[in-house]
Amino acid sequence: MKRTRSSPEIFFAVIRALILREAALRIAGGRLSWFWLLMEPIAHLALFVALFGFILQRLIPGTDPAIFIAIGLIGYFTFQRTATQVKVGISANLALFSYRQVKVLDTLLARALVELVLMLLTSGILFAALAMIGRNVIPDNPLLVLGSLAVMWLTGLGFGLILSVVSTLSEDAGKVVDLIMRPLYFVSGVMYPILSIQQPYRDMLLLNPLVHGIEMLRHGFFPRYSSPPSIDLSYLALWALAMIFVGLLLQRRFSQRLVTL
Amino acid sequence: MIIVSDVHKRYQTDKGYGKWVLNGVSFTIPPRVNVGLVGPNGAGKSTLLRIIGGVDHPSKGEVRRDCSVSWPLGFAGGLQGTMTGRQNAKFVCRIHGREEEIPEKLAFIQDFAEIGDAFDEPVKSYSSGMKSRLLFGMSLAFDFDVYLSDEITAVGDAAFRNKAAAAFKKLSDHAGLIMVSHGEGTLRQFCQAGIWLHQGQAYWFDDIEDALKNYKDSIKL
Repeated sequence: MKRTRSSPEIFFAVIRALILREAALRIAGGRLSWFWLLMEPIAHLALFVALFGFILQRLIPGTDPAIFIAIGLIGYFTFQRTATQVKVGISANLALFSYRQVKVLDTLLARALVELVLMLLTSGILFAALAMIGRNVIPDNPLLVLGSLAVMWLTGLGFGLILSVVSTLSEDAGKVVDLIMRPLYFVSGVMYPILSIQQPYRDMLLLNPLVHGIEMLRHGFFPRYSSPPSIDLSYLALWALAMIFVGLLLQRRFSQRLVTL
Repeated sequence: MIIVSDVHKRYQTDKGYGKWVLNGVSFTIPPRVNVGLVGPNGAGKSTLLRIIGGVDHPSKGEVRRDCSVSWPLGFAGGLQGTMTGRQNAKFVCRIHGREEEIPEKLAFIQDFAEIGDAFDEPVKSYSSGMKSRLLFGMSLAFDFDVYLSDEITAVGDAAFRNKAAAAFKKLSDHAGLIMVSHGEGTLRQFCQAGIWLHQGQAYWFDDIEDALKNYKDSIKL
């Protein structure tokens, strides 16, 4: 009888293999695919930063408009891209479920981790570029920035876990969710400080947990940035926790139907 | 030893549950026995093989595996088309074992598959015969106690089939094989015992000839 591996051993081996595979797959498209992989989000970010940060030059007290837009987008994308990647994770990995070691959750976690690394790389390049043209890109409170980003990522992971089950079980429900996701960009305070919104709409926007993460990111960068006192990272963290819990519950409940479909 | 006890399986369809594909299947496969699964299309052969392999779960009943079992070797999955043969092989090595064994395993797989430079080409450019060579080589790189094969040898050429058979002869003192095939010759070449799947039930025969005979009688009627 051969030595049998423990469950955590198998889990980590599988996660490792999946991350390497995912990374290889992303850059396997051609000679320049690694370039496009980073260029695509960077181009998007750069366009918006140029458009709203430099050209419009809206005055936001205590901030640098270019950085203001950049971190708003980075925070939002960390959530949205992770959620999207995790959402389509099941159908993209169907071929792998013929190995009993590979569980659905493994593939989703690996995808979320790869997306996080990509997002950090992208942000690093963007900030390096901003620094080169003389902007001050050093955050006032780096720990708060990293913490807020981490919570945004966890929220994306939780949301993705739920979406992956919902969209696999019902294509129609998946489309409805896509429809709801679209305006999320505009009600998350990516482009504007939340204080610039009049009441009672401000309080309505504050119900959106993403607003709290993005505002908190800005606090991490600009010591004199002002936002409503009700901004609270733990509100977003609670949402993240709840969504991960529900997501895991759904994964467990429907684990058999996710793969056989 | 693999013990299949009272396994039921039905799938969810758009209109609720489908009919029972497997309806109370029980048998025990002793160690080192090569078994052929026979039955008409849709009888649940592949389903049963996937359940034995642990990649699908029975709706009711259970399967006990007291040994290491390979993944079901077939065309339904297992290979990622956009990645090269080498990358696919590496992935399987990583999920099955330790990092330091990978070069040795890769060398074995490349040697067994005999697909030449195509090993470093994307799998989507492979013919089905090349895919089965690769999959078979990948599974032989690990010392499984039981190998599961779903028509994997069907598309191989004679040379490959002989090579696979020779590999199994060599393994047969410590490993078994469970295979699904519609090729009688293949079944006779590889298997001693047989399981005939008929209307959701499984019938065990110590001799593959008896299983084939029952199967053929059932479709004549």
